[in-house]
Amino acid sequence: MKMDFFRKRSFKYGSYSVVMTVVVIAVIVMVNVILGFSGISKRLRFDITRNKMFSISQQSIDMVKSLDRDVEIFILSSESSYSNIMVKEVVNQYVVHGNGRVIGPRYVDLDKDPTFISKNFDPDQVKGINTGDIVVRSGKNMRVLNNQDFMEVSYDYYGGAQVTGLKVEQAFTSAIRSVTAEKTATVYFVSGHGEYKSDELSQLKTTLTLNNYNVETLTLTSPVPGEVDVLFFPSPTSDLLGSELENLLAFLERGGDAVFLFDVQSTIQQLPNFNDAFSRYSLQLNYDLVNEFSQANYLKENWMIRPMVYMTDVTKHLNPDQLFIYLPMSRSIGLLSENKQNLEISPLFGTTDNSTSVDLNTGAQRFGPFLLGALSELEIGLNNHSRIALVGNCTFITDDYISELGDNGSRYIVSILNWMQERTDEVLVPAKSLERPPLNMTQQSRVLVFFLLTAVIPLVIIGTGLFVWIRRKNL
Amino acid sequence: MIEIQNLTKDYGKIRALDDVSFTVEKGEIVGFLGPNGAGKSTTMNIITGFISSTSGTVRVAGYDVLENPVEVKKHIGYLPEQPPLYPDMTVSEFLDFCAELKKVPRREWKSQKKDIMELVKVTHVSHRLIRNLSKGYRQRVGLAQALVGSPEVLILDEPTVGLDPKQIIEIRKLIKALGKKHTIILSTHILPEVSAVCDRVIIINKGRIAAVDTPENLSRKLSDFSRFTITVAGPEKRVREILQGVDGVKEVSVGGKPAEDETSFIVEADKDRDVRRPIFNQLAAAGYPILELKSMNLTLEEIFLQLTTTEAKEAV
Amino acid sequence: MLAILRRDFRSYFNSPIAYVLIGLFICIMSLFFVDSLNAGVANFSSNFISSMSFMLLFIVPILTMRSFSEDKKSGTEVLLLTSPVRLSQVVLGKYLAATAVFLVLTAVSLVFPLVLLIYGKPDGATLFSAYLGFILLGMVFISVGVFASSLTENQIVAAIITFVSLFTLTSFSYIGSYVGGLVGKVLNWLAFMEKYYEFSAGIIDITSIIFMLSFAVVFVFLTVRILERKRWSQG
Repeated sequence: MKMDFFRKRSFKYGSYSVVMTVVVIAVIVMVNVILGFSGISKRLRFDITRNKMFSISQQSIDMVKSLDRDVEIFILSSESSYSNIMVKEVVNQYVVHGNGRVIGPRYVDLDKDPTFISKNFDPDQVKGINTGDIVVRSGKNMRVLNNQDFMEVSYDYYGGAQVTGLKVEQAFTSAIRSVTAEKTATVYFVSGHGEYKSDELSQLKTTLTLNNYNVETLTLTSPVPGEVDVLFFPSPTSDLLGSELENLLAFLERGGDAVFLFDVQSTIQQLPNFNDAFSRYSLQLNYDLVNEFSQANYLKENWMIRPMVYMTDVTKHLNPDQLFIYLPMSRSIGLLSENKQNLEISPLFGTTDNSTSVDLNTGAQRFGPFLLGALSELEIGLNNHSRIALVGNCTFITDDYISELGDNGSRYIVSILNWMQERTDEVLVPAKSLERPPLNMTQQSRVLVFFLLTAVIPLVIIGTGLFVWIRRKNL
Repeated sequence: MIEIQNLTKDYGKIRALDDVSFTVEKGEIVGFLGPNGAGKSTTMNIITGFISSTSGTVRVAGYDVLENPVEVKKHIGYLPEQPPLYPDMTVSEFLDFCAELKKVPRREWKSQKKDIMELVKVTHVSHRLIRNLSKGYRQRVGLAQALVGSPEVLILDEPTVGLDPKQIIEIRKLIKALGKKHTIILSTHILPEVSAVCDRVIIINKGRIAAVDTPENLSRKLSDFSRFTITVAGPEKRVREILQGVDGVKEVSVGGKPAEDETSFIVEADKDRDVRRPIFNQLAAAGYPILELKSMNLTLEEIFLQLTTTEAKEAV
Repeated sequence: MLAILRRDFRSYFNSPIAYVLIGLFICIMSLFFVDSLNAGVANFSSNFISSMSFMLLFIVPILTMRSFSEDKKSGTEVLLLTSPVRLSQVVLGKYLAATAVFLVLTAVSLVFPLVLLIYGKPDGATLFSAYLGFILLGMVFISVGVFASSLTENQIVAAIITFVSLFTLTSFSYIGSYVGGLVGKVLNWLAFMEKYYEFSAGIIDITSIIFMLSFAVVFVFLTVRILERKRWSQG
């Protein structure tokens, strides 16, 4: 009976057919699975858009190719609901060119795995993280990227924002660079002269840490150790001692960099030793308070100055929207006339013509424009520079200020430090402009085209159909 | 030309064909005779490769239909019961399509198309839509379709069904004429059609072949009452005497007693004499009614009883 | 195969069905195209792109419902299957005929990029890639439609099966995100819409092309098997 069934032709052919069907489909599925889930698929994608919307520049390719440690990319969204094609493609490019160093993207659905962030990320480094954000991680370093980081926004006169371009690549390259940076420079906060205390500058310190700067404190009572890169003076209120000045000058003369921020002081305190140091850079700290009267350049009070931010190497890598900085109660910076060779001074902040300053010692009034901050770069030897930044305000980087008016100030400080360290975290390629080729139509031709497309062409087609049909119907 | 061996086809538990074997020689016109549902269409569908058999082999022009379906199909023109026509095409377009489907070389096709259309008399409707044709014309187009590529074997399933008598006669003439060039199998459930057209008849019933013979032999067999059973109400002895007394009856034996006063006899008579009338007359005169009289060639008769024996019935 | 392709193709254009489908497609797509005209931007709006694929959900069932259903009903299936043509060629012929009609529709819809080209300088490569995606999506959908048509002799039933299948197929990525896990991954992998959107953005993914063509091949192959099985069937 059983044999009989097997001998039956329908069984023979039927099972042959089933086996063949299964085999053919299995082979096709296998080929696709291999293609789809292996790395090959990532290399078989081609960006054919005119302005290469989804490709990354050679600079970024070189950067990922030279990576010597793994970088993981997390997208905090379920894969299917993440629809930013450009981010997906750009990440794919890094993965393709990363020689296996760039891993991901790994999609993390926070609804399904709500503890993922606390388990895997350092809470200090991922503050304010949200669904849809992206985390770039290498070892213990991580950077959070969100949609704002991907958009180039320009502001019109009234502060209205408009997205003019996309800089997904810039955001990723800079994030990857920063999390993989081998040597993190250390910023030494100098204390001992009535500077701001550590707990008044915690936001700034976080920002510095996120940008791969170690933060340490230092006094100048002994010579500055050789490993120190940058000294940071958060508004000293008393002057340097003579020995301290010597230590500082020694540090600067061997090519050290320093950032000096000075708030207006209520107690009239002269700081001749500091000014002695500044004079070597042709800068001078004035003992005054600047008021701005040009309406667009102050906020409510004349001393709450919105300075003109000069375009310098420092601002090059900042977003235009990050240049909105308010300097509350500032002193002006003087430029010494003596022209030194090997010295290059660039202004950072300035006021308009319509500003005044009052000397807190003499009460003498002067008229603007004033300089509120400047960079000075002194060439010491071949390829050796000493750079200082002097700003007549320090309030704008304090926690109190940041909680009210935002952290553009600390970003600016990071940018200054990057310039001093010759760090190019940021990517120099321009943002991709959104592809919006214009359509030059007159209203008339627009109506005409609309009419043609919605009425004339369809009617002609359907009419032809009816004609053919009716003609044939009675054949 | 066509060899069929032990063909069996099951539809689930129903056996539609049971061990059917026959051969058709080149140039023959073979009639497939049988009542509706006997398995005629199934056999034809298997020969043409439209459906598969459960077991058994079909060879056409030396090719096995399972192993070499395309070669087999090349040799066959098939007109199924429902002519396969695209109603939205004109006759000419449709035939062109069939020629393309059967890979008739273009050069040959032009003249062949003309011939076929003239043969089945559709030339004057060649530019009409098949949808708008009468049933008779559609049947002809169906036939024309089978002729495309002049296949060696024509398989025609009920080619005259639904036609009026005049059309039937025409189609039969046509088939007869085609028989000179083609080997033809045609199925029918109309008895006279077979004798009018076929060289040989295969009678099929309930999936089995009941008889294979020439139409002449078959009609003789049909009227052969040299051996039959008769059931009569009356005393056994008396009835036997009457039966034996009929002129031409050679032997009478008792076959059984269905009831108390009824007896079945098996009667053998001379081959060329019909003894049924005299038996009736004599038994009637004796007052013994005949309850049943049937030929011993049972299956054949049963089949024939189900067949349409006159044309008028069907043709109207 | 060519004979069947030609016949079916002509049959579409001998009845009003192809004309009505194309006419309505152009008319409805024009309404979405107006976005681009009004914005004065020489590219397809995302609405236009997604509507193109959405329209396919309705066009394809109507296009393919007759493929095999009609032949089964009118008895011409016998003609096709008893002619010296392989079954695979019959199926391929029918599939390609429906695809050819779809390509005509696609060709007519080139009026939209033509308008962009006349009045502006659109990104030709991206438009090309968008059309490539559209054609691949159409080919996938048609294979499903032809398959459905081989299952039944009722055209309406065939169209409904096709529509429901396509609708399910296109919502795979949504379903996938709900289901999650391995099933979700597989569903994501099958998400044609995602692949279509990638093409329309200007990314040509060779694996997607292979995948979509494979999908169509599998369904054409399954159609062959379905028709074959019928001939071997016991009941």
